[in-house]
This record gives sequence, structure tokens and C-alpha cells, in this order.
Amino acid sequence: MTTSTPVSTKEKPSSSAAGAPEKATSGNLLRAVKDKWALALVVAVILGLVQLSSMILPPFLFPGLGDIAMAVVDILANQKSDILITMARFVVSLVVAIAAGWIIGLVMGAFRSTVGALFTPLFSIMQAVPALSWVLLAVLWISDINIRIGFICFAISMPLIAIAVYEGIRNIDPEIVEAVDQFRPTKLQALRMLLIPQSVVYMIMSLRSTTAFTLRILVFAELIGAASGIGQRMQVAQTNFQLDMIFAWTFLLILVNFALVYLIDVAEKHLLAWRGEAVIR
Amino acid sequence: MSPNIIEVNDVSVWFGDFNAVSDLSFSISEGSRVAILGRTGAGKSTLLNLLVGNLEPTSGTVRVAGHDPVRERRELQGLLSMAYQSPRLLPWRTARENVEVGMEILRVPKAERRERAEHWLRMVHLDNAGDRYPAQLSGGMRQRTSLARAFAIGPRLIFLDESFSALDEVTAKGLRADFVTMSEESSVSAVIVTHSIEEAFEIADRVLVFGRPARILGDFDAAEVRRKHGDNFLPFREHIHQMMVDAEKADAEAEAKSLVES
Repeated sequence: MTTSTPVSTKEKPSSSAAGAPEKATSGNLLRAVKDKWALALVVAVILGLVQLSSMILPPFLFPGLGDIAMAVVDILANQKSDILITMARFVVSLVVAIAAGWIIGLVMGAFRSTVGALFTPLFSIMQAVPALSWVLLAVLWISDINIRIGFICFAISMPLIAIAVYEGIRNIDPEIVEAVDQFRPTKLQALRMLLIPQSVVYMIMSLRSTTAFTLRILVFAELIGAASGIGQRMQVAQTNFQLDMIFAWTFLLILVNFALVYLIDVAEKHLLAWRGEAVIR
Repeated sequence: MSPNIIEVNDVSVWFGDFNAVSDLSFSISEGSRVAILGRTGAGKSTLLNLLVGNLEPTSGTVRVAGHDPVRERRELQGLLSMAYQSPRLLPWRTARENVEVGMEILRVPKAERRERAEHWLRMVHLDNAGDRYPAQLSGGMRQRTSLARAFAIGPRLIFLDESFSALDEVTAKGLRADFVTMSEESSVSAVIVTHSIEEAFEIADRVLVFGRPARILGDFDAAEVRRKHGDNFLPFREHIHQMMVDAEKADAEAEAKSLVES
């Protein structure tokens, strides 16, 4: 009754799977071109509005594109150290927040009824504390500037990452847990095979919002409580009424944000290459 | 006669007032392929849960490879594996890495793991798809991977929980044929839970027809049935179908009568 049958011709692999070598289909290409055009259009409109406003308003209220460009050159020539200081603070505090948030989220997921139940309300309260309160408290509590700024970024971004990882573990498909459990793994094996890979997805997804938010908070913290860094430089520019410098710093921060998003995209493509991606046509 | 790999003695399972399994007794000898055939709600999944140790019977005893599957869970490590209705692959692992999951848990050395994974992928005709992620495979290919994963640990007993039911007929037929070849080559015992009469008699040596609550309505030698009815299976199929329907009717009537009396 049974005969050896080769793979059915009906069994065609999914074509829209992410992680498959990208094919330059006409749809993809069109979308990419459209996206680039949209970005170029938005940038052109913003630059046009800035230039137009500078022609209408006095220069001390709204500098022209030329002045802003000069200010950018000035920053890149003479104030690189502030950019590097801010970036170093950002990287260190984000790495510490990611490491701590990831570990805490994993522990919360592994021990839901105890650690998970305890930390969830704690992080909810921490997230409800306004960023300004963290900044003001840190200024009063911590004298070392770098530790102060690191503390602020940590207090704000770590709970976001921990909760995202915890949610990820809670959302793990019970069917695949059962499929692995049939082989009777140890707790450590289950952690390595199931919880850690599952948490990576949610951690990376949370990074998208966390990095941009952390950078904004960091610059804000520098503005209030630091003697160096981009935030402090913007505060000096504001005091001296140097609007071209404020625009220039803002422009550079936007570029940094875009670079961060790009880096997260690269990390996502590399680490989550296995994910299938739904395409809405 | 081969020793029994499964022994179920006077087992009943109650979920509150609901009787899922009723005084069930049967045994399965080592090396045989036994299909548990029944309609939806016949307690087939409950039986599987009893056999793999996810559920303890309300009364009676279950022995799998000589062990109590609930109390001696660890002792059964490496002896049992299962393929489900859906493939249940880890989406972040390639097909090959998914096949290696069980062996990794059993701490099989990496080189041997790789070699065995390649072998079982070849057996299910996926030798060129080992590096693909589940999202890049068709439904049939995923189910093939799941089957390879179940065989790769070299178990003594494999459970199939309606593993072919979600596939189109052509793919399912191919996979059933592969399953028979693979289980014969590896001399593994198998319990195949299915609601398909054709499937049960196609791939099993023995078919247990279940009624509701789970109890045996008929015990068939599948080879004998294939020999007798292979050319004209339809009347026999009808006979089995009627057997299940009649049992269900009788149960419903008995239940209604007891309700009226109470």
C-alpha cells in the first residue's frame, strides 16, 4: 500500500521569507526608489522652510542654511571632543542598560510568579517617573558627572528593555516549548534554546525606540547637569543666543539618530534573518 | 513475541465530571506500528498525554519502555520522541539545527550530531534544504523536518499526533511512505494517532479503533486488512466508520437516559 514517493511538486518553499537572499523584484525596487524619493522630498521641504523663514525673520531668530552649514563645519573642526564624549556616555550607558535589562528580563521570564511578579510593578513605577525628575534627582544625588548621566540613562532605558524581554518570553509559543520539552532538557538547555533566542527578537525591537529615547534623555541630562558634551554645548549656544549652533547641533543629532537606526537595521537583519516577513501589497 | 514497549492497564481519566478515558487496557509490542484511530473527542490526545508523561491517570497504570512516564520522566529521556500535527520548529534555527535539537539536549557530540542530522534530512528528501530557516520552507518541508527531528535521536518509540492531517493529500502520501521506510529501517516502535481511516490502515501494522470516552471498539491486524480489502477498501472503510458512529450514538443515548433518570 505504501510506496516511496519523492517530494511533491506541490511543496514549494515560501517565497516571501525574510532571510532568503534578497531578490531585486520590481516591487522591492519600486518601494526602495519611492522611499528614497519620499525622504529626499521631506528633507528638501524642511530645508526650504528653514531658508524661507531665515529670509523673513531676523538672522538672530532664524539663521540661514549657509550659517547653519558654517556652524556644522565649526563644530566638526573645533568641538569634536564633545560629540565623542556624548557618544561615549551614550554607548556605555546603553550597553550597561541592555545587559542589565536583558538579564533581568530573562530572570523575570524564567521565574514569572516570583521575580516577574515583583519587578513588573517596580518597572511600571520607574517608567511613570518623569525624565525630568530622574535628571533633577541625579543632579542632587550624584556628584560625578559621567556616573550621574549614566544613572539617568540607565534608570530610563533599562526598564524598557527588561519589560520588552519579559514580554517576549511570556509570548513564546507554548507549542514549540512542548516540542523541545519532549526531549527533557535541563533548565539551562531550555534557557539557551528557547528563552534567549526568543528574547533577542523583543530586545532588538525595543532597541529601536530605546536608543532614540536614551539619546534624547542623555542630551537633556547634559544640558542640565554636565560640563561637557552635546547637551552642555547646546546650553551654551542657547545662553549666547547662537541659533545657528543650536540648529547645527540639532542637525548632527538627527544624523546620529539616523546612523543608530541604520546600525539597528543591520543588527536586525543579521540576528533576525530567520524571520518571515509579511508583505502587504 | 517481542516484549511490550507500552502497557496500559485499566486506565481511566476523569476531568471533573467528564470521563475522557474509560477502563482502557492494551499493550503494544516492541517494533510495531500501531495506529490509534478515532473521531474528534475520542480521547486520542489524552491517551498521548498519558503515554508521554504529561498527564497522570485517575486510576490504572501506564508503563512505557518499562517506566512510569510521569514519575520516571528522566529515565525516558532519549527513548521517546514525537511529531505533532503542526511542525513546531524553532523559527530561529535552520532545518538542520532543528533536527539537531533533541541530540543537542542528549549531548551527542557535535560532529556526530551533524552527520546524523544530514542522514535524516536525506531520508526526508531535504538534503538541499538544511540551511534554510522554517520561514523559508513549505508546510510539507517543515513537517518533513519535524519528522527528521523525531527520528534523529534514535528513539525506541515515536508518537505521531495527526502529523499528516494538515498536509495536502499528495504531500501527506509521500510523507507517510517515507515514515514507513524510516521506521522499518530504524526498527522503531510507533504510535500513530489519527482520525483518517485510510492513513491508519496504510501505515500501521495494527489499528486500534477508539470510541468515546477512550476505549477500544476494535483491534485490527492492518496487514490482514490490506491483504483482504486492499483492492476494494471502500466497504471496509464504511464498516469502520459505521462502527465509530454507532458507538457514538449508543453513548449519546446512554448519556441522555442517565440524565433523564437522574
